[in-house]
Amino acid sequence: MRKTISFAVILLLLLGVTFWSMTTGSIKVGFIELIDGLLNGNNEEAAVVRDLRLPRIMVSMLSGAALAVSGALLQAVMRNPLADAGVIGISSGAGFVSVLMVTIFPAMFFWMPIFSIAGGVLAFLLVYSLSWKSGLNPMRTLLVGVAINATFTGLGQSFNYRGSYAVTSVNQAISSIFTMKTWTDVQVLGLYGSIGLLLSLLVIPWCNMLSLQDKTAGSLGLNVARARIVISIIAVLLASVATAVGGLILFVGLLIPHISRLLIGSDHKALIPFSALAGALLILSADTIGRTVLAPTEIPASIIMTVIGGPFLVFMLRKGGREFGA
Amino acid sequence: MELNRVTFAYKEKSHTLHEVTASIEQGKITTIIGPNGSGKSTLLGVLSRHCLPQSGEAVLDGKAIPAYKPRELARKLAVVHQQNEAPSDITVEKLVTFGRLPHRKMWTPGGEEDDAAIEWALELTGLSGRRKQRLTEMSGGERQRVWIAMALAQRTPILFLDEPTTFLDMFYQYELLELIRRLNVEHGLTIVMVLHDLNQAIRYSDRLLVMKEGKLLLQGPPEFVVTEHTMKEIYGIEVAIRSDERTGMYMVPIGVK
Repeated sequence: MRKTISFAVILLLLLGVTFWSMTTGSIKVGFIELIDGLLNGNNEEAAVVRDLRLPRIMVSMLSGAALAVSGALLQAVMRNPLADAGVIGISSGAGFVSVLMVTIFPAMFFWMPIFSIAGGVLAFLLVYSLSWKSGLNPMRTLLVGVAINATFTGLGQSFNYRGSYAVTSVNQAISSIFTMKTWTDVQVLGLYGSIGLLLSLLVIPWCNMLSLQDKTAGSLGLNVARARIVISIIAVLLASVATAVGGLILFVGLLIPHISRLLIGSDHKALIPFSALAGALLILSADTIGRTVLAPTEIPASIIMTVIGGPFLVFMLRKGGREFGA
Repeated sequence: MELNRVTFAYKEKSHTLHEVTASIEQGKITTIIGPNGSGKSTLLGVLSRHCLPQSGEAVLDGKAIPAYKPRELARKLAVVHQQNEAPSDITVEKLVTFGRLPHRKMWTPGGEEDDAAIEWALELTGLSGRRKQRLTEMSGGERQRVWIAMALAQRTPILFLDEPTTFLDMFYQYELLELIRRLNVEHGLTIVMVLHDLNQAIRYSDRLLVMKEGKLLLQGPPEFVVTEHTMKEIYGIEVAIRSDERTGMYMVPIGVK
């Protein structure tokens, strides 16, 4: 019952914010006017909205969904409620490697998602292997992740000071501003993101089994090592693609699954779809607020998320101090 | 089940098995005893595919344990681990349903056979009336019964229990041991467990396996294994062994000389 209500509310909210986001901003159009313009193509303002605002909305929602689900998967694999692709460096690894490759080979711009995934995998392997000491201690993993994140973020930012043309074109992977998103971005993110989201639904039973201990999951006939690898790859894919297109956004994967668990419980059957919707809602809201509150100045969604996410992480650390071994 | 010269070592030297050869008899309760760090749980781990031996082999129904696929083995052998964790909002029924996973395709809903197995497991462990309760609201002894119910729902002929009575109050310890005996006598399950308490081991086992420093020192019925001499050998303690009609055989430690 509570689950049904939560799903209904989040869907309504998502729908509502989407309409609001479509009609508000530097160009204001009525909803009916907008739909009419989009369908019949006789309204210049609607055309601007279609070319500039709609891709932006799609990218925000898809990145949010991808990052939230990625967080839920990582938390299942690492048995760590603090795992988040942004916080433990997967996103910055993805961002850095894609910026590096595109700077060296500018012609390969459309391969960026692939480079991103490679970078994400690299960062994940580093975090996983460096924090493994006959098991994964949540706190150690977090600390190693923060260090990896700092390293890749630093490496990425060093490109900002090269002052070449490449910077402006690849900067998006580091700073995350949703302006100037095109339908090409939507296609890339839509393709890889949907694949990742669909795959994440397939591994739901594995995620649930991993929420027991490894040895219990093994006794129930799960190939634990294989399940871990597959789920990790999906999580890294989602986070990396979101970073490649939407840029570096922290804390979504931490905040959303946690709130979702409170609302609909820890069963991944509900948790993963709900996280996807809630993640989409969060980033779309953050982006829309960011571009309207101080218009014409924009606050990037990533900055809003950092401001919300930081205190939230502190809250979680305080609350769960014992179980995280702090 | 047979063990042939099984040797196993973790990277750390402490828990190792050295050339252990033993047999587990079908339809009996076999208990592994021995001092801390003697390899009791590791032996159980080798038998249940959690530890893969470096040499030697463990055989179940004519097939080496590592050759089993995880799901295949999970239909023959269920394990109740010593310490267990589950999400804090999980209910008894949901957790017991996990026991059906080795028998089910990933995405098909449970059939009649699954429901029957879950009911049977809940009934036996006395949890039928509490299926909607959360694990976090239960006592340690009740929680241990839920984990046993999950293993029972696997409907395996063999059940392993790693120190099932540790951390429990006396009442729950004996309640659990009675349940284990019932599973063996009334339902024909082959039981292999690790116990700390020797008198419990004597009272509830058909056979004992005695481990010390990774080696199997002795195996046989309790009367054969537990003597004043062997207790000195294994634990370094002086004991008196008595027996009367009401209690059967029991052992009282007297000192360390």
